[in-house]
Amino acid sequence: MRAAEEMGAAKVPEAALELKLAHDQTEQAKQLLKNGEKDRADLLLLRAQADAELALALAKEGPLVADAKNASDEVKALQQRNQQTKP
Amino acid sequence: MSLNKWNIGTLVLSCLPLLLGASCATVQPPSELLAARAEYQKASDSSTAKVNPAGLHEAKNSLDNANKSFEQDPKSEYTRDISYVALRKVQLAVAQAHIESANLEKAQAGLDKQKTTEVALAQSETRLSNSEEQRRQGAEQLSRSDQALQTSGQQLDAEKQARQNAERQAEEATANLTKIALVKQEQRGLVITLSGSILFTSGQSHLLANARPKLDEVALALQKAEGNNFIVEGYTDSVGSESRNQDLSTRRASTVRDYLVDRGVSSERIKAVGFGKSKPIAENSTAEGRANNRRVEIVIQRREPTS
Repeated sequence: MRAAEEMGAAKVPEAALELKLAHDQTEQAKQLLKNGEKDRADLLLLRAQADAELALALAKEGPLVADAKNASDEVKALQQRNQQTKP
Repeated sequence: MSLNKWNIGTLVLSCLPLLLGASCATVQPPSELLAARAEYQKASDSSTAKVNPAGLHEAKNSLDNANKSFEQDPKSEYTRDISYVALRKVQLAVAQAHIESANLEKAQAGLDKQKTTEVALAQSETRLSNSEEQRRQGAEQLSRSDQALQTSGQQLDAEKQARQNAERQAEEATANLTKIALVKQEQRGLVITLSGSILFTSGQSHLLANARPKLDEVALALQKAEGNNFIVEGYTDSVGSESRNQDLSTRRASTVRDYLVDRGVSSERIKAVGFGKSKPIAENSTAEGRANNRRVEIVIQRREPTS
């Protein structure tokens, strides 16, 4: 979860939602542990871990896809300009 | 990607008779499992299978475990939880595939940008080279024009000098001639009129001895008038027949012409013409008038203006 937060998950809506789910389920697991329900707590932590991993990936994916699109657009613009200014 | 996004898929897929074990034939699979199956199917049919096969394989193992758990204990919390994890694994595999694709796209864009920049640079160099060539050709043209202008100016100066020389020589010649003959400027050129009585014996075309020094002066003047053409015109008075006067005027003009040629005037530039008694310049009724009409005129023709 910390990795996802550091990656900027809070700024990517889909990643932020997964991160919140991970936090919520972690809190529930802590409560279950206090109540002695270790098996159920383990399963919730398993879910939380999956959510956190997905949050991290989504936090990376959003900006990276936007960067790649910008780079491609920039190249297309350059190629178009080359075509127009061809001697 | 929230669970809510999978609700529609869950509803649709829950109606399908899936390949489930006998124990769950009458039990509806949990929404998490239905969503995981649908998402896995979608990912398998997409580029994820090619870009991130390892991630998708891990998701498949997770989904297999969830299916197995559903067969064994369809209503358990465990089945629900590992179905949830399987769904997330599939979604993770898809997101990782997107990341990988974006990385590849970005790297390719970097290479394309470098190549495109090189092309732009080459085009720029070509334009620069073309401009330099045009500038060089322009400079050469300018140099040629300057040279031509200079040559033209020199020619103009030379022509001007030649014209001034010719005018000066003509003035000198005119001044000398006025001492021995009547000199007039007419439309056809400078006309030197010599009286027939000082050149010839009456009725003859042989030059008198006294005529020679005068014609020498004329020859000298004509030689100075370089570039002009000359006409020696013979005239008589009205005494005598037409044919005789015509013949006499022609012979006298020729005699003068031949003498002038002997004295150095170019034969190609001088010709002789007889006009007989035509074109009198005075009355033929008096002795003085007839004397004036008996004459030889030497015309220094105007030069044709140079273009």
